[in-house]
Amino acid sequence: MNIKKGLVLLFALVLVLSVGCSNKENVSEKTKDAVKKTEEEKSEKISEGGRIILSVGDDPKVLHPFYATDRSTMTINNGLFDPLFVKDGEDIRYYLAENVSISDDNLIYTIKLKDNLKWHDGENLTADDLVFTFQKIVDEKQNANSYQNFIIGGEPVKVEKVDNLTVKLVLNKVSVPFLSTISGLSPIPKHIFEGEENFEKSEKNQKPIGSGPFKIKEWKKGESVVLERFDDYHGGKPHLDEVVFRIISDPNSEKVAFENGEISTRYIDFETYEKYEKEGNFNVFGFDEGMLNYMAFKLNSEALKDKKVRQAIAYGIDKEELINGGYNSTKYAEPAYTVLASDTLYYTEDVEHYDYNAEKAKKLLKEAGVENIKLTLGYINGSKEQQNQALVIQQRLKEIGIEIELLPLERGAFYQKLLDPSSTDFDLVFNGYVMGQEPDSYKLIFTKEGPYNFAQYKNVELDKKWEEAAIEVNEEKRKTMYEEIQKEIMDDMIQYPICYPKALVSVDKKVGGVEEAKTVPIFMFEDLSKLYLTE
Amino acid sequence: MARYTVRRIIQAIPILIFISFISFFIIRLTPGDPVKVFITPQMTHEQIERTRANLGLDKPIYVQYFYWIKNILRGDLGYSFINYQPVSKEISERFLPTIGLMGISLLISIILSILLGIASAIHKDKFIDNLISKICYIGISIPSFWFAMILIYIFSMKLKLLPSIGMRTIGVYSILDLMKHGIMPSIVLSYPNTAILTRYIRARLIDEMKESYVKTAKSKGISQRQIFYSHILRNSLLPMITILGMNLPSLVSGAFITETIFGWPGMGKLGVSSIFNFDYPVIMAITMMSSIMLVLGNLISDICYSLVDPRISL
Repeated sequence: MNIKKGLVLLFALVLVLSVGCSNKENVSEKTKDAVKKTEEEKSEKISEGGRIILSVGDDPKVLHPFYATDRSTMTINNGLFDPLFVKDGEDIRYYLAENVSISDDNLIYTIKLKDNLKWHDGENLTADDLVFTFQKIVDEKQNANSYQNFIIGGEPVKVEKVDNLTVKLVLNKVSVPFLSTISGLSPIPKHIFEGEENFEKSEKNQKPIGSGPFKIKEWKKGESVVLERFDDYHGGKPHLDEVVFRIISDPNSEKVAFENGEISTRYIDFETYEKYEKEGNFNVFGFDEGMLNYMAFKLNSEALKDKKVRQAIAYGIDKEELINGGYNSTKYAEPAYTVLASDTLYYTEDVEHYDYNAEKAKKLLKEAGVENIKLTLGYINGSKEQQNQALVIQQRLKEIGIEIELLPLERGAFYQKLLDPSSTDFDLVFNGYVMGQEPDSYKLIFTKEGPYNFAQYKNVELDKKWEEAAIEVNEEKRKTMYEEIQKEIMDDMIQYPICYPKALVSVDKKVGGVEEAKTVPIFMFEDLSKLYLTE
Repeated sequence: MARYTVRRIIQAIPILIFISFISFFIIRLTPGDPVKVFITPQMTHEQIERTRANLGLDKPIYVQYFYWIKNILRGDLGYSFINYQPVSKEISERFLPTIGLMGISLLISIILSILLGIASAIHKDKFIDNLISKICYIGISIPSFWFAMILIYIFSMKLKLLPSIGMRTIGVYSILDLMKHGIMPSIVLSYPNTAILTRYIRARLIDEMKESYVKTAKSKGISQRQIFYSHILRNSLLPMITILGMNLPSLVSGAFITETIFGWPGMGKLGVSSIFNFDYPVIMAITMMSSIMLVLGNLISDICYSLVDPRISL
């Protein structure tokens, strides 16, 4: 999903990595039990109407699909604006689009809209809106977040109206990730924004007109955003009268409000998950957030320039112990062996796993001719998990003769140093990312010019391969290319993957339809129209 | 009086400019980049720089300061970096909840501290005084976030008497509901203030009771009650004007911690959110409003002094 993809690093930048890994009896399986419970609940009567209250950490910023970059805004936008479709692995779930087809030469994408679409103000949503949306995304003045995704081969993607419901996008060069780019894209109403000079600063974003299952009713700054049911919703009338997003920035207050019945859902940590599950007062769910937690090596550190030293460090860490150290248990995430998230296309585990081997680590260090290395490990000071994991690494690496100094930093200072290529304050760093299911997006981290190449990794051959893979239309060849990329990055060991944490949520027992609404990263629920209250 | 007031206001201008200068530079020197809030992985370097230019952050700091002060003098507080809404609008939406909460808390503090201070002074070193003193010591030393959580635990989670979050129940528009939401934040805010003021009033009353004019009044046969309420109390409460003047900024800046814990949609919560999002124009506006209120508070308390105490002339 484009926006989801857009969230990617931002998410990694804004959030501290959390939640740990491993053990086969994992949360996803438990979630299946929870889903079973939900199915049982379906036999209960649906109480039409009512409201559920979700919590968000802050006021939404700009309620416009072009500019959503934070979780609060994206979550609320998701209720207000429907996407064209959502690409989930090989599956496509259609929302505003009836279908999407790609020409044989992979240069023309044809999007056909459903024919019963309405905007919240009652106007018809047609191909004109879609054409307007695409035109404005590539209008440099509007500074849309996804602008760059629509510049293919140095040219903006051309948009043509075929008929009242059909739009054609013409690329001047093949771009395989383009389907992911348009997935999740939400059109904006032409009749509202036409003539508006600056969409981002427009007063119209205070009372947005969308196409989603709920329309805006009230926005009390600092308190709540109230959405009410959109009766003309193309997917059928939503069950709930209202969905309220209550702004609660303090996690403790959020916990109390949830347990007190003042809000209906919340994200939880693994300890709370276990507590709620044991007590049975709330339903709990876990799902893959597509997130990878890792430790990066900063290649501007003199000691880490030699690949053997980096490999030695990787062999010197016991992954399971590291995960347990952070989370006391390995139930809530899978161990990670590659740099791609497990739900990414062409993910492979057929790479060097760097299983714990202290002898091999010592041998590599000897071969590298280094001894008595002192390194600094940076991380955000508020993260209990990272603090514990840092201690595990410190202890393990001491055994192979590497001294680790821990450098917990305040969030702002941490990211400033992380993003500053000249910073030498730390050699190793804990971080995490959500990059979406399209592997092409990972080149932002691993190519020389990538804006998030924190490690300052330079591999000209690999950079070329990233570019070639993005335009390779042969499925098998593309798969091979991305597998080779993963193998090479792991061989170079510029990033030690730790685990894929699960997102854990608790839901009030009165709330039904969780399975149909589908728990997803960022928004928590993909389709709010499916949620309901039980009698 | 008018000349004095004008003179004080003129004197305040360089102070405020100095505060604005220091605040502006300190805020910008803190680690972090406001543009970071807008960055998405797809953005090119040019797009990021365009965002920076849109926010006016591409110019040197001293130039930014010059533009900021120029706009301020024209009454323009600028636009929020986060949602591009005018800062004045952002603040006006949060103003009433904060004024209401802080005003009531201050009122509770004043009333309670006078009553408790009198009781404590009259019953000096007796059981009531000891009890009030202990309550005050707790109030002075208790961290507000902890006290807030204790109240929430008791009144929201256990007794289910009061809502734990927000200023109102969603969909309910009643004074009673507003009051129910305001009870715990008001208690948290007024308790430490009450404790400090009570101790202050107690000390002042005890000192005042030792003054020679009290003995003179007694020797003239004036009743104990009359001496206390007409002379001692009046003289003891005079310095309260200064304390209240110093409290004036909190009426507009709100309470960062309490508002955040209780999800109270006021200036304090806005301040916290602005700091985390590097929303410089909003942070500066709140800082300057507090500074102006502090200067004004001092001025008002000086004027009030001269009005209620003929011994002081301006």
